[in-house]
Amino acid sequence: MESLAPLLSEAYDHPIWKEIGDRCLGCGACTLLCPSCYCFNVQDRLDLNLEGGERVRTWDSCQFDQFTKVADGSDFRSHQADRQRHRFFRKYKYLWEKHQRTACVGCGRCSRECLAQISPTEVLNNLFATQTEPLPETTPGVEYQPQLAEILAVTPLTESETLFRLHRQQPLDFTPGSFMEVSVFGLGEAPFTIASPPTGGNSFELVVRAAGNLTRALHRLKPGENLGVRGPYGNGFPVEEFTGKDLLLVAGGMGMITLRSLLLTVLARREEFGRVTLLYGCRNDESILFRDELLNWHREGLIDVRMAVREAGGTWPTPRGDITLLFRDLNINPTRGIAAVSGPPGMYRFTTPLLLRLGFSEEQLYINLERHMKCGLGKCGKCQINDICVCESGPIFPYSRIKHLREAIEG
Amino acid sequence: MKPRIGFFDFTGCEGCQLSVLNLESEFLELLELVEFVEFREVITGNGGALDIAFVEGSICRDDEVVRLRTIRERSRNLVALGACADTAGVNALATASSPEALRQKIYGCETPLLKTFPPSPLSDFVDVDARIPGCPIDGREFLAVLQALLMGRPPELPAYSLCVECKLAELPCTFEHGEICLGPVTRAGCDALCLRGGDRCRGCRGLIDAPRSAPYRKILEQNGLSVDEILREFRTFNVIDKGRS
Amino acid sequence: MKIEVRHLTRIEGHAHLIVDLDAGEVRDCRLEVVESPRFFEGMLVGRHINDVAAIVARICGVCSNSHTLVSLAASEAAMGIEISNQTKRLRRLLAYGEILQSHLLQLYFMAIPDYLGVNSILPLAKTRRDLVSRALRLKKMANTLCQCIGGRAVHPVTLRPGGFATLPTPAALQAVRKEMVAALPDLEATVDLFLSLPVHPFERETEYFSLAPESGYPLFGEQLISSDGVDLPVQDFRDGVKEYLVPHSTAKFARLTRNEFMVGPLARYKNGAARLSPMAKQVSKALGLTLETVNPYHALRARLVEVVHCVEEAIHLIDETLINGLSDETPAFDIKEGRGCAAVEAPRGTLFHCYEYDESGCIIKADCIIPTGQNLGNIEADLRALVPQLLELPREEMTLRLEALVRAYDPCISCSTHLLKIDFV
Repeated sequence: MESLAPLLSEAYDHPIWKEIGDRCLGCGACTLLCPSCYCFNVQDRLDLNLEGGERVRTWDSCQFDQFTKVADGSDFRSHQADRQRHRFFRKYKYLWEKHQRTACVGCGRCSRECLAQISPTEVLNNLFATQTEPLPETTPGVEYQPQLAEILAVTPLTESETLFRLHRQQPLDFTPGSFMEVSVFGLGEAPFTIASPPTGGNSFELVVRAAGNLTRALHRLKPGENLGVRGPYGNGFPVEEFTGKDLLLVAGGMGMITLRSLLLTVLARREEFGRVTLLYGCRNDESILFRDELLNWHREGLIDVRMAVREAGGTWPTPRGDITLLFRDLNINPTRGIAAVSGPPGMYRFTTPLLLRLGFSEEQLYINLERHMKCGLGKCGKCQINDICVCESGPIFPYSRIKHLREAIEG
Repeated sequence: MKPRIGFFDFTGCEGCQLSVLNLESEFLELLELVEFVEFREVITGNGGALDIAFVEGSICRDDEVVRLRTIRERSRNLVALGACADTAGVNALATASSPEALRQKIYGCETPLLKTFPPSPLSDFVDVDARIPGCPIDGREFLAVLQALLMGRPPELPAYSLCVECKLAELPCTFEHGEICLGPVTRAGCDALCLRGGDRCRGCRGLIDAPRSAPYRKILEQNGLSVDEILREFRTFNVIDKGRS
Repeated sequence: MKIEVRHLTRIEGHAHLIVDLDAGEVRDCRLEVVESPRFFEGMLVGRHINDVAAIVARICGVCSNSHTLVSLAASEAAMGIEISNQTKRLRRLLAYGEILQSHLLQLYFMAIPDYLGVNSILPLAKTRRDLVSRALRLKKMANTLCQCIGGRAVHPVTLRPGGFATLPTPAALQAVRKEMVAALPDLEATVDLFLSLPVHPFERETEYFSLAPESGYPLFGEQLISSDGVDLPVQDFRDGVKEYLVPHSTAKFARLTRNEFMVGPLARYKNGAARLSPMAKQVSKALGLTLETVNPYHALRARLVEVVHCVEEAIHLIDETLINGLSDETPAFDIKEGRGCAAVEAPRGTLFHCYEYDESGCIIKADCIIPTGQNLGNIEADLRALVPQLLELPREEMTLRLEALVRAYDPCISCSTHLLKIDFV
């Protein structure tokens, strides 16, 4: 579903609208039968004595001749092709963008009752077929086939986490927050967020925590060896929209990996952004990722880094407490700010209200909602949160877009 | 003074005037609202100047043209009442063969009263201020048009097709049980009465302003109709299609 | 003296009444039917069986149900289609509704003003509101019945060859029944009203023609009878009823044994009074109607007797329908070539349709004979006989008498497959 809005935004001038417009009878059956169509007209019905009456809502439809007509006779969607296009745009793009929900429940009543046999499924599939990038090969299943990437460097970060620098034949194009599917033959495949910034080059970095069979196998690999990669997948932070703004980054545990990609992107063009503040909470001193790197940037005045750990007794004098501690004494002007939050879902339950209370709007607050994005292609369903697939429309979302999803943060 | 209205009829079945009389529940209130000064079917007498003349029936003889023009002259508004007056309705079927041939066939001879021309809508001879389509008219629509004229605004007819009312009535598409239906190109406003009654739409309310003829014809052809059969379908009530709006 | 009533009012359709008197001699006396001819029989040629009833209904708004019923019966006869008892019951109910609709409209809206000294019922809305309200209530009751069975009061939509496309719901039937029972006091009041109105004296015996009362008071049937001894199967009606054209009329006139004959309520009454419902018999007695009457003005009272008969019978028939229950029947039949004739007693008299179909189910030839056409000759004969008896009356009074006579026949000229008109010269 979430792929339809971008699909349609490219398809305004597509010949398919004329094709179905010429077939359409303009009878409005599609909209009248649609469980979610609600456009209406307002009419006055007079009593017979012309002295009283009632004002009533009556059903209307964007497919009708009169729908967009105005008093001087102008008609803003005068051809049936315009009206059909509008129907699709409203269903799958406009209302999606407005409410983050599609106006199609997939019941099929409109297709079933259409005398002209206009079927949204066919129309959208047709648009996909003519608009999406052709696949490099047409072999079925090719999208699941990994490419080889060579390990350039292996840097242990903590006891269990290691940074891999990889290189593959094809350059990578992505936004901070995107992820790669990484596989070891025979042991399986898993998604890993990209820890390096998008440079347009062929190398990239991943952080792997040894936890299961696959990750332990990855840890055993040495520079010069190969592993399998697919991607990058997903949508990251819209960095261009952040320029000129103050950035408040909030990281919890491994959530730092995602924000590192964003931080490095920002630092590469530091002068285009306002103040950058990073709040970073971890379990203990030992689990802090990229500590030296972060402190160097702090010392150089590039960013303002504040950390907190929950367990005492570490090597460094890091303040003790959970991440909410760091929200005290924050000097933030939220009107020109962006908040980017990346951590475990449990953390969002606390940070989101705090950020909103600070004055960030729902559109200014970006959240990383990583799930087990098994296929990365919007197909397997494992990363689905209610009605969306994280791999296709996330994992980075403005809060306004996911706040209605009960499975996103709750529970 | 109450607005004065009159009813007149030419060639037709008088079912539309009857539909006005059938507004039993509203009739007494209607008498309070307007004065019925002429209504040949139930009133003896002639009414002089009228605010609204409702005229039923088609025109198919010279003496009818003369009478229609006299009615027009003494009426501030003239309304075509029903399909026959509006589009010549079912009468226009007579156009399918020549009046001479029909006359010979039915009456077997010629007399002056039988001298007719093809049944024509009122608008071929006089200005028509408003129209109430349908065979017969819908009493509620008659009241709505009357009210509009009394309020001094042009009456509006639904511009959309009958499919709308059929769908809102949650009826299955007539094409689904293998019958041809004129609903997709016929003006709504009858609340899909025939379809509710298990019949198909025969198009008595005339075509919508912008019927999608090309795609509709394609659908009829897909349903196995030949050109002749398609024409026959349209020829029950829509022999004369003037693409009026 | 010349009396001309151009566009006779309070009848359906266009006719002039013309009487020309020269020193007490009737020089001319005719009912000129000037309604434009409509050529329905020609329009039907080439039409498919599924379209025929819907087209012929448009012959007449007032008796569209009768035209529909007879048309379906003729088509069914042509193709040998059997109809179920349920369909028969429902169609009979619709036929009752049709007679009620038409008779009540005629009695209250067209006839009564002649006797109350008004030009229409409408001014009575102020002075006799009870009467007008009662008229509207009764008319509504009749329309509700037609609507319940046919889907619409004028030009029904639920009927199709072989049966019904949609059945009335039991709840709707019960509601109609309730309305009809509630109408009984209104009928009593109507009888009282008519008892208070004079019956103009006039007698002229003629031939009385209707369907035979084989299975009840004449309504549907296969056999035709007349007071002159005609006994004819419906399918051979052309052997008995001969149509002819007169120069002053666009309606066809007809003759039977004599030069003219009568159809309609009075003819049915005379042929079938024995089969009236108990209540109708009582009303007939109260109204002083006897089998011996030869006064055409009595048609009004016969009409009222039929109203009572139809209400009583319809109530019983609704009960019978509800007891038997309504079940969906899909009308299915094979299209084949054939010829079929049928007749029903429409409000104004016997209505005939006769069709010939080709093998694709399209009409080759259609023939419709309308009651008013059959009455036209009789109306003119009555006028010729009546005028000399009225010479003493002032002209206005005389005109009114003559108009009232024509209205007693309730001529329906809209049925102008064949047509009619009246001029007094």
